[in-house]
Amino acid sequence: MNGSSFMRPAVILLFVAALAAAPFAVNQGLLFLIGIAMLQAMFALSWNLMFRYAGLASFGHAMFYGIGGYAVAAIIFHGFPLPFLLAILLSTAIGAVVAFVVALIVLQRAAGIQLAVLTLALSQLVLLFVSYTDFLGRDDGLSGLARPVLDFGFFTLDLRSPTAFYYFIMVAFALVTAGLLWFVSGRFGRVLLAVRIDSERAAFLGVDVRRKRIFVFTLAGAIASFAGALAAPWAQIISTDSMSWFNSAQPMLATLLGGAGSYWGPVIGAFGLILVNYFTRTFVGLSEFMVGGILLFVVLLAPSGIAGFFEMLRRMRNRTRTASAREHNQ
Amino acid sequence: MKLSRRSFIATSVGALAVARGFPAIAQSGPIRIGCITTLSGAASILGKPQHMGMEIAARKLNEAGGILGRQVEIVVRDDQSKPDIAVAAVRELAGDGVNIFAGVLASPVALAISGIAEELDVVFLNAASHGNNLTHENFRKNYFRVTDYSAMRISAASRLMAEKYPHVTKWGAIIPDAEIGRSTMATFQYGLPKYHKELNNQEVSINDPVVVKFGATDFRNAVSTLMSSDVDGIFIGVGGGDEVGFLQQAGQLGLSKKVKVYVSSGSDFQVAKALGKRTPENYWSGHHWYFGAYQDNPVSKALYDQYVADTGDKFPDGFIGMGHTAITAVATAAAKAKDLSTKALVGALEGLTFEGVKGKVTLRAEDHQALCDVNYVKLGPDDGELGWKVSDFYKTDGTDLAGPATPGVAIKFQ
Repeated sequence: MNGSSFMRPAVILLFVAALAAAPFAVNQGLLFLIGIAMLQAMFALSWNLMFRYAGLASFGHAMFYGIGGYAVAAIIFHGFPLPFLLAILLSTAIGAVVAFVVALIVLQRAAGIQLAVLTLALSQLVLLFVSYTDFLGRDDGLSGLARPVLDFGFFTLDLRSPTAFYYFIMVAFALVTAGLLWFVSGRFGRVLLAVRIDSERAAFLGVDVRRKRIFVFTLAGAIASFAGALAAPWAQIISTDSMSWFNSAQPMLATLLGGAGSYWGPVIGAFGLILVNYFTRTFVGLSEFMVGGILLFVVLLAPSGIAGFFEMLRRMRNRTRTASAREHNQ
Repeated sequence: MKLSRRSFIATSVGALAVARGFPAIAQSGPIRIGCITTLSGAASILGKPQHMGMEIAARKLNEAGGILGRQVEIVVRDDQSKPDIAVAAVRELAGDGVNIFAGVLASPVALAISGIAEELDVVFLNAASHGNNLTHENFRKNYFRVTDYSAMRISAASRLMAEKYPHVTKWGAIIPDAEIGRSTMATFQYGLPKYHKELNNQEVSINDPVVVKFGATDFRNAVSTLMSSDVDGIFIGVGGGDEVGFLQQAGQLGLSKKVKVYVSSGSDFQVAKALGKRTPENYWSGHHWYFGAYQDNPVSKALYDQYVADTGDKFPDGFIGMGHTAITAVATAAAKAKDLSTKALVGALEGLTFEGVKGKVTLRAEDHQALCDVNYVKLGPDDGELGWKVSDFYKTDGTDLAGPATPGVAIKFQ
């Protein structure tokens, strides 16, 4: 076993341990932001699923995040008697159905820049629709959302406690991250990579490219909706900002920062963006400036993101090691 | 790979160390008051003065020994006019031990903070938002509003228009597509006919409002609609940068020459400061506080003098006055309760009467709404250096305009 195959699980374990220890180490305000970071990481992972594994760059992905958020928020706000877990599932399903329909229409022909423009336009249309819908609070959104209590019969889980809700999000984050990793590491993931690298050749080999892309788009939409459905009760508010083009840019920025070539890139990027925002929170406008500056730095000096940067360092070190071992042997 | 492990551990440990929570409410050291307001984007022209008012109030309090012997520190966060950003900022500061919050411009932002204040065990003194719902159907017990609100201000505007412009009886309106727009319009539609009937014994007509989105920049359609309708007066429910944009285009397209009067829910001096010589004639703007109406009030005068000394500008916005009033309310309540816990402060603020920049203010015990004066200022173009001038003002006691307290129940106009 070489160093790198041993190190990655160790880093992941350390990351999970740090997340698990957070409620004991940080105040409630920061705990809230770490929760948001996990949700943003899920959102970014779902975007990169399309981008890295199917070559689809959606510019309106926040539409699904917002749909999930609004669905759960409406259920809570209007007091529909639906258990919270079912509400989350229903919201995810709505996101998946909408994504499927969008994929059916949009992926008919478009894959490159047309897809980007179409998804952006569709997301703005949905935003406009929400901003004129009384039931969804129009431009004001739905706020003051009560956090739920999960009743399992033999025990209850009170998500009104920030710590309990935080762990709920953490478990969801772990499940989604592990599930996706399993999914993309298997045969299906490799087929998808083939679709991204050369869709014509993949089609020639018998892969139904369109069907694969529709499936990935739907899955990404469902995951984004799931993240949104958890974000609304976590923040206790949902507004049209959640589906704005600015929010659609967040997973792209996270992926660019963390590295689109790595599965973990979007996670690193999402946490990185939250960190930058946190440390620049007292300087008005500085956070945008910092994010812009860092992205410029990344694009120019480390085009494969933070994850790619570490990978490059590792390779350089290995090369040096091999060279010095060779010298030693001689 | 060692580098990656080291940097990861260093980052995690560093982040945890920096972010390590402070004790819930520190009993010593300065009292930290969270100022949540808009410091970026179009509405920052209103948020910056609000913050400045709080800073001046804190400085004056500190010179006099602070609150309960402790210095006051204002910790400011930009809400970008977005409820979710504001909620995150409040959570962050609350986690850091801050239990007193003040400020906020936009009603949806205020509504979002009000909704979580009790759960976070914090008290929130709203210094500008006007939505009727905040002290009515969406009333929350840890929420206080230290300024007037739609029902009061627009009733005052209606009375003012009926008094000063009895012959202007055909009205149009432009409002934002938001709760605040609808609540101001509902008040105007109720108030104007009522006061015209009472004072002039005549009927008025008010057309359906032209509705625009928040942050709109192109008002040509709205202006054309108003131009083509038979109206003498226009009620403006859009505020801040939107109001500037609307009036600028209304001037260019000739609407300002056609109508006899504009009355606005209010952007204080911001429209005149932005438009200068292009400020329309007969433009009445609602003010949170107009210093000129309180020349004999020592609180108002001290704030005015400090503002002029700090900035050199002679026209402080009302938002400065309300930021100042929020901190004054906290100081008075703390002195009364001799305790800074949220519970004690909420108890002390209920029914509290104190001297603010507009004279006596009472925070109504039932719905936490300030009963205070309402100010309107008439602005217009001028040949002087500023390009605009104040030609008249109107100050009225808002107590009888506030309507009955109905916490939990929507306000009814009948």
